[in-house]
Amino acid sequence: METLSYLIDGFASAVSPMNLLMCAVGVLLGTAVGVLPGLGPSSAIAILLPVTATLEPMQSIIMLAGIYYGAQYGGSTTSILLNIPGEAASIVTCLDGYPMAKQGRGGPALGIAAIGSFIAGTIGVLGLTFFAPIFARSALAFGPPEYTMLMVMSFSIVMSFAGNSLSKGILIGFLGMLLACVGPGWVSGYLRFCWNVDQLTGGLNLVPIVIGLMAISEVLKGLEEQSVAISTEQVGSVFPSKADLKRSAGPIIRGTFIGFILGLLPGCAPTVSTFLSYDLEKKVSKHPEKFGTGMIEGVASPESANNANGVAGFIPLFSFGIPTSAAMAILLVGLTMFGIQPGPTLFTSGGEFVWTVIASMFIGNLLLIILNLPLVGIWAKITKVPYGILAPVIVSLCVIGSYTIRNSMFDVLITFLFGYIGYVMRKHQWPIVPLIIGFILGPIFERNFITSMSMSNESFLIFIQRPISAGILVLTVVLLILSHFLKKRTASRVKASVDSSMDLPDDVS
Amino acid sequence: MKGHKALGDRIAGGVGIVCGAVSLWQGADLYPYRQSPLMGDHVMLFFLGAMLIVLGILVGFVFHYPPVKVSQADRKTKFTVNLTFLILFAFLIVTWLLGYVIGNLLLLFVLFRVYGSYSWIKCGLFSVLVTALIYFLFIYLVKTPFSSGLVFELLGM
Repeated sequence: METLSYLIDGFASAVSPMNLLMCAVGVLLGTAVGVLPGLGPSSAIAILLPVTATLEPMQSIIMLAGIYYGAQYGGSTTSILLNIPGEAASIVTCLDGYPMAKQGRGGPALGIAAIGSFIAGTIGVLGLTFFAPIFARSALAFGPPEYTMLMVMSFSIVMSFAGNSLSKGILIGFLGMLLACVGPGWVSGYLRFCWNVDQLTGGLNLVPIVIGLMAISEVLKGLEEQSVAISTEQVGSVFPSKADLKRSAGPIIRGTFIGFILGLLPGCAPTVSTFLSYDLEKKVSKHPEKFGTGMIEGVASPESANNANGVAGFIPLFSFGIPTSAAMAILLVGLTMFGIQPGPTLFTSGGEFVWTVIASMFIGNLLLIILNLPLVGIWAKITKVPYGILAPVIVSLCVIGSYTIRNSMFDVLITFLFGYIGYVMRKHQWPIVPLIIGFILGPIFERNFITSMSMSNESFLIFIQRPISAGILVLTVVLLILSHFLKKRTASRVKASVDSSMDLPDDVS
Repeated sequence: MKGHKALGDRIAGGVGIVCGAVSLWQGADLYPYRQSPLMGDHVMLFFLGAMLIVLGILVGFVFHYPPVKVSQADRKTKFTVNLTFLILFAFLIVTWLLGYVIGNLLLLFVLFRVYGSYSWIKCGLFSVLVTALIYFLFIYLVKTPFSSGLVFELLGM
């Protein structure tokens, strides 16, 4: 009851005209950038992060939530209309979405993707509303040893973003941790890696690094790819027929369930949930042989799974401060940028704030379907905006975004440098996300590890003597084995299912 | 799987080893300020240094990975990518000298020209439009304190 009353208060705050407007603008902007070919939701959020920096914290976070939903939906649009998945999780949408678009049924495919995402998102946010405070309350019992082990568990997320090699992913994750060490040390306050450069004494800020790695590198990669717009002229009505809705109801529910459960587990990438849900639909279908030729179930289930997975990721993010996906990692950057520190105390220290954000997620989900369905024709047209116009505007936005964080041109330089590093990494298919995850987790791990050592007179036994800490350690091992198994299985399915003509993103493993 | 190591893996392994060595060196610098062997700012640096060196050796020189498809850009695209970096760093210098507004205007103008090959007039028009919009949003409305440029500061403008 208490949760419900907080949520109602959150709604009261979220439906203020200005907050509603910000949410709508976020959804529209997120979709507009998300539909650009080759730009996945995480890149879209990174590009738009600067836009939110100019607003009040509450409005910024609400807009960020809208951008998140919009970018997710925008990614589905390119998968369906152009056969270009913005990220690995959207590959499976292409399998049946693109054939539907070629048959002139792109509209219903987009419609069912939006409806599936809406239902999954709403159920997911309901889950978030009730589970996140429970998890957060239990996390209040955590001390430094438990947090140290939690960070070790979170580092297993790197596994799902490691691309074709776990060792490379871990190496990059550690490099991210090393970057986070720049600046004053936590114990003595002595400077690390500053070498008399004044601008480094405050440490590196993650936002310019993320903008460089995700957005600038994407612009440069786009120069090489020059995606050819092959969007279908006739997308048809976006409103699915009764028969389409009937066929999609079961897949949406099943996809939502799979996506939500797997979204709670660090290390299980959204790709795993989309492929598992697609696989399940094939198994329960009376016509499995028709999958891949334009079956609406093949769009409904993975899209729902993807969205439910994304929303479920908010639970570990809000409760423990752990990002479980690339988009979550960037959202975490956004939250910390506005002084919000996700974690167990979020629900007590930022009460009104966090409930308004959760309420605005409900609203964002609703606005997404209200605004996007009638505008689908415009989104299809955006995919045809020439790259020569888009790229300079994106670069200019990136400059603004990295500058406004600390009003420092040094941060702009960092963005450019990491833009180049990101471009080289993408080119050689080195995973980028582990670097961001490492940067986020590194300082928390260091602080808690050293405090644990202080508590135990430098005995490592403290991590196994305390039941919660030992439990997290065991869970980490179980999750590592489980995600390794699921990832292997998914990778073979990806290879088996994906048509060679499809334009695949880098993070497919 | 035996075979030639990819150059990218060797470079990345090398970067790991160098970063690891730098981390160990910085850790050694901070070691005298420790509270105890496992409590101090050196701990994380020693840990990361050792891990990076080991992983760098494994990734760069021991493990063999399945070959990855490295996208090969044509000469023109390679030139455009390299030119982009020159443009971006030139932008930093121009902004330092002439301020953000002129820097951004020139940056956009050159990028529209390089990426889109539009006519000089169109490039000028697009860059003025985008800069005006950014000026209105970020400088006029939000009052972001952008640098007005060393030259204008010296001239007292």
